[in-house]
Amino acid sequence: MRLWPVALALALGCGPSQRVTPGPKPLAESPAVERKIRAESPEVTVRGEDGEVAYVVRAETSKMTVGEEGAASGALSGVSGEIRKGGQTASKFKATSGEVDQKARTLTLQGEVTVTDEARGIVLKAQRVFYAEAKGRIEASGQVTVSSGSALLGPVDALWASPGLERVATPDLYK
Amino acid sequence: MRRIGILAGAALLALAWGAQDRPFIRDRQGKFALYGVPSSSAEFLEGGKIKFAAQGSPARGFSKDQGLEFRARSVSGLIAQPKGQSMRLESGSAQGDVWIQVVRGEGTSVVTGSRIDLNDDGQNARMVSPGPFKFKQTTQVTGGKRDLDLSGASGVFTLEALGTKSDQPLVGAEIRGPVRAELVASAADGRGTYVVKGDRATYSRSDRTLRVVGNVVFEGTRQPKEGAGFEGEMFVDRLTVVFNEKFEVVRVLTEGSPGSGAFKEPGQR
Repeated sequence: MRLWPVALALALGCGPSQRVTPGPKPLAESPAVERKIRAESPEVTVRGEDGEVAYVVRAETSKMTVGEEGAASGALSGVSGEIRKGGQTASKFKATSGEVDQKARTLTLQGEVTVTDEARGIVLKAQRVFYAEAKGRIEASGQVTVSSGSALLGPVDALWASPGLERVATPDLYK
Repeated sequence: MRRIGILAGAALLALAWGAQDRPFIRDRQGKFALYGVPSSSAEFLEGGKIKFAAQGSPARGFSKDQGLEFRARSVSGLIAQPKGQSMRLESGSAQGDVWIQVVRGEGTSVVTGSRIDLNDDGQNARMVSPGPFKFKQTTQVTGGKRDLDLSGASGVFTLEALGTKSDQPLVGAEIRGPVRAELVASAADGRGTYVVKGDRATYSRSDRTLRVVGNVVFEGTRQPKEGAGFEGEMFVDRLTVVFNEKFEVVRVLTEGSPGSGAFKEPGQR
């Protein structure tokens, strides 16, 4: 399962204000090696292939289930964080819920997603956002709008954007 | 059941049509919009400018402050967001069945062609048609209107900055041929029609002259409500038509040979 790194990160205490509460410890003889982890205010940092921070995710709460060999499933709620590029914050995001895959270096945000380039006042809103660090683009879907100054783009069903939102396009025209 | 199916089909069609018609880019004041573009891209540049490209069937748009409306298969360009003003098209290129209309005051200009490039620097608007085009300028005058139709194999037009009110927005034109220029004026004092054909033509508003060179054919008819009019045609190398401030033909000068012509009162053989 792709979420094990999150659980691992949470369990290892990656966040500055993290409190991890492990669930009941499984019995040694028990075949069901499953642990429930509930963390409050966790922070997860995901690095790209170059070792630079790709994005940082914070959540109000997370509920994780860790199975055999560290396999985990779960969700983050009350998500916020930032996407970074070249050591700088490219954009900041907020969403109702999210998922992180540290191995694949992807981030999925759902529900009232807002991605913002604060420096230039560009705001992207969507129902769902998928960010793949390797692809270097934000894939937004569901009533996607982008605003900048008096300009408003959308709503459109799907729009891809650069990490800093300076370029946006329908998927067929995104370069 | 069949009725429900038809209704559902109609609803889906309406939804699909609605999606096509949703604007891709617009400003909050509703004075600028680009819509009918299922494929589109935008780049946010420094200074609030937006570089865009879009394809549609057709792509349509308007900029109310500039009096501009357009449609084409594909459009690209640069949008400016001046502080305290609505968005405006600074430059653009439209390709495929292009139709561009500029409305200002009493005058309307329409350009059609396969490709039109537009640049509006706030002083002048320059339209370039590298291929065949038609340009029509209609001006309302007392008791009637005046139509100027220009067509050619390619052309460059300089207009007053978009959004500027003017009854004669055409500042200059350079047209490569075959060129056809037709001026039809109907006013309270009568009606006149002038058609000039040639190899090349230039128009300058500063001296209010239309100059046509090479294999020029000039046909004119003037029918005033009172007094004698004329009807005639000329074949010359060069022809200059001089207009007055109301864009009425006041003089026709010819040069070169062979030159021939005949003028007569209307209705005479």
